[in-house]
Amino acid sequence: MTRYVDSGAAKLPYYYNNPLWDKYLDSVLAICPQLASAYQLKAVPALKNGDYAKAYELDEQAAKLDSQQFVPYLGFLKCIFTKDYNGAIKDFDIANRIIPGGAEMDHDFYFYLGICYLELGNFREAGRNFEIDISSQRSGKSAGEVHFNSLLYMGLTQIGEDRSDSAINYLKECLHIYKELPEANYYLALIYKNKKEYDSTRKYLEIAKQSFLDGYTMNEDNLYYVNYPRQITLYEIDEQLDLLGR
Amino acid sequence: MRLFINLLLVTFSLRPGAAENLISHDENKEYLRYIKQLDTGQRKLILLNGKMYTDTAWTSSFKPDSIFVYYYNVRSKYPESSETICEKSKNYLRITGRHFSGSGYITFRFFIDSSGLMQKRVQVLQTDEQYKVYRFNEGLVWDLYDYLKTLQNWKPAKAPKGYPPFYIGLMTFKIHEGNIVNIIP
Repeated sequence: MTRYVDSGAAKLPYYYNNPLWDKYLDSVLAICPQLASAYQLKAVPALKNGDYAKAYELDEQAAKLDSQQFVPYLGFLKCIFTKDYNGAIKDFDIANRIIPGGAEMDHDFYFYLGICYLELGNFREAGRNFEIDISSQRSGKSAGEVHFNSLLYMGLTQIGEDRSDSAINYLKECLHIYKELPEANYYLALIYKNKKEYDSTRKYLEIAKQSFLDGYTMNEDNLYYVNYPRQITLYEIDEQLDLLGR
Repeated sequence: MRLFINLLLVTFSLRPGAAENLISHDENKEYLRYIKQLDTGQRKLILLNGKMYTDTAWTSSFKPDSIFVYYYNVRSKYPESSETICEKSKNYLRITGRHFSGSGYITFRFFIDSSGLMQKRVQVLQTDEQYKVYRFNEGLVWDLYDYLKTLQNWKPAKAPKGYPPFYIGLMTFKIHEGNIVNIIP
């Protein structure tokens, strides 16, 4: 890996989108065909560039060879990249048996399970998983501070269950940590719109818009490649402002 | 193919009446249906070097396979949420009135130029729900392609001098039982 990846492939112009990337990883696999991370790295351009057949063939091989490291990763890809929520649930259930309460890409497995159930419309299960995610963060090492996206998605789950007051609490707690988060401001605005509190609707939509224009985002590492569930753009904010009557 | 070769033989045969001996009534019917497809402009996906395209036309001096810049290198996802695009594309398909089957992913890869326009050369990748290579009904692929062409707000490509003035855009339609259920990215 040091010779072919760290000193080779990783230095290529355009990195993994250089056609030589594949050849470097093939060199690694020719010497070490059981090296799980080489399959995962070889899959990276395929995944990010829409060749899911190639990507998952490689990533599934990585998961077979090193389940501890790559089953959660596979679940993450299915949840966030290919929005395959049923597939992700299966992978994260396996992951929880291998590494109970583990994490992937900065979030608990329960965070992703919550997202999967939210997107499948199973708000009760979504809430249960986000509750575990949030509780473990409150009692965890990071001085009890909960990730703002855990609170955002819990708020969205409460909206799904028609619990607007609870949703407002979670979204406001989210904004207390990250007041510029466009999505939290936007969905809070929609709750107030449903309550016909149009001054609050406009207030939060304007904050969402300004925050978006100032470059604030959900701050997830993979945002450049995919839209996270319920992630918004300026289009949605402007659409709501237009409906409100500028 | 066999039908086509037979018909070529018929066309260039020196013996009058050879047609009746070389092609059956069903083959003739199949040929006439094929010709009718071409006449009505029914589109077919193009298989080239193991990859599938809606169109392979390319007019730039830069070779299309030499370009490495993707939408994420230049922060150029389409400026609407996945949920918005999903709803709009569902409505588009509903209006066509056509129904399809199959579940999986249909991905279009294309070039966006410095005017924000999608180039003609569009690659199509298709998998089933288990991420195995799959072929949906071509009618569905073409309907989704037609919807894709309605998207006009791509961010224009900017490239440093000497680099190709394009980036590769991507749009995947997640399909379940013939219906769009999600959009990537």
